[in-house]
Amino acid sequence: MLLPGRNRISGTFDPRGQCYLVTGASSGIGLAVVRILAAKGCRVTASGRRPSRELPVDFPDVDYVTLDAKDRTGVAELMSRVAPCLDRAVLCAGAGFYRFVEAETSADIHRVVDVNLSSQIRLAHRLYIPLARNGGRLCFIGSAAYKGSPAMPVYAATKAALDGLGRSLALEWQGRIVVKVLHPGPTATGMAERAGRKRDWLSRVMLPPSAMAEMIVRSIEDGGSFRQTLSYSRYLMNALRKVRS
Amino acid sequence: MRVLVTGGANGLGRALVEKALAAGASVFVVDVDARGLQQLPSQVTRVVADLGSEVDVAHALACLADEPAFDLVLLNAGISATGRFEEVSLERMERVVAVNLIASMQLAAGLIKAQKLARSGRLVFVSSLSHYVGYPGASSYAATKDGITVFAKSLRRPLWKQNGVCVQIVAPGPMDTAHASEHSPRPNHRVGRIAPQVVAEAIWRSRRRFAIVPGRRAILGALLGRLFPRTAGWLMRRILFEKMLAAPSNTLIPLQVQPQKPHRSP
Repeated sequence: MLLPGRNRISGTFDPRGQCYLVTGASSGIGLAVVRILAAKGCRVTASGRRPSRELPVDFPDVDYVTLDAKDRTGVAELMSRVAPCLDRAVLCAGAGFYRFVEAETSADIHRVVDVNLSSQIRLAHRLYIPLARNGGRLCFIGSAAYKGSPAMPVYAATKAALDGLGRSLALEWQGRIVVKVLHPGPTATGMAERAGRKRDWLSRVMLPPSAMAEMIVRSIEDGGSFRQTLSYSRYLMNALRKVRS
Repeated sequence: MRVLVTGGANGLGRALVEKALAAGASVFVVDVDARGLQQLPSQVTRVVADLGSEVDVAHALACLADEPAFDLVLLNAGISATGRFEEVSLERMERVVAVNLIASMQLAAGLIKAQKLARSGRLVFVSSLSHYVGYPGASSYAATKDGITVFAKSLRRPLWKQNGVCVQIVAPGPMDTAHASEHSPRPNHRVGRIAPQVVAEAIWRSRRRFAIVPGRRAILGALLGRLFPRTAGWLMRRILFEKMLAAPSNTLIPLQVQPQKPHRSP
């Protein structure tokens, strides 16, 4: 019989009935992650910037909290809705601009760092107790741009910072909470266009959010390095595997 | 030659200010420590600004607006927060992010936009050896230093092409400064710490390479981190984090810098 939770015999993880927290769930990758988890029968608490009435009509039937990443008081509200024991937290909220450094303004730099780094620190700080109770896993969603990109220096810097946060936290919390930083490659969430990137050939071959979410949900359970880049190579490998089976 | 140093009243910044003065440069210093600024030689132009505050960063940029372009800019102001991540206060960590990452990026962007970097000048960010080896026990600090390194990496090519400006980082290991000792598991243990003067000398001399890693120990550390990241992480946990936990008096460091009203003195 397959019990929910960690299967001691096979060592595999069955997400059914497990408690998940997903931020940045009102669109893009976060939304796709929520859809997958809800379909698997997980207990999901989702949060996102958009108010509930602006969510897509087919948004899964899960607990939803409106929370702007900048909002400090909202975090307390979210925490009160999260189960006292949490198994997985997937922090997808992110923002950025696609532009060179000359076009940056102080206000925008502040805002992007706040969403991509400070708010993640605030959440991780509060999630320590609920996650540690269950030996849970914390997963930050970075970006393949974390190694640097002249066209979006501030965004790349914040994602590198998130990577650094994850690396050191993984060492600190070793044996208590598994920390992961997953770096998605180009994904067709519409974020790139909103950030000011012109549509070009790459826009047409970006990975579908559902496939990216599937890779994320699977990678959270992986052993190995804290850091994983989820991009075309892994996508193609998965596609090949599906064809063969 | 014109030099701009943030956090130039103490530690590494101070060492570079002295180096620049000795070489006959005119020096401009931004620091939060008004008393430390007063102790600098009289020919230094100074601005008191708390780079953890948005208003002060804007004020510092406004003061720089009338200045001619700089040949060397060292964005050095930085603070740390050590201890168990879940026990360090959020205010402290947000301040680390504000000073180390937000202010450095805002100042860099502001200087670039206002064309305050002379042609063939240098823009140097102070990173840390933690960029190579990780830093359990100072996760928010390590995050900001990784962030600023990648910011520098992203600027390097466009600035070189457009303005001939060389963007660099410096990644020192533990330094023999008051600030670094405060965050060490053994504050009074000075063996193996590199003198800020040596680091300043390395910054002064290395004019082209991207990453300035001063001292043999730091180079070894960086190599280890690059080639065997897991071993480096394991070592950092063993020799730093676990010792830090064993010395509880050192884990929570209160806010020390009181924001001051910015003012400018000639």
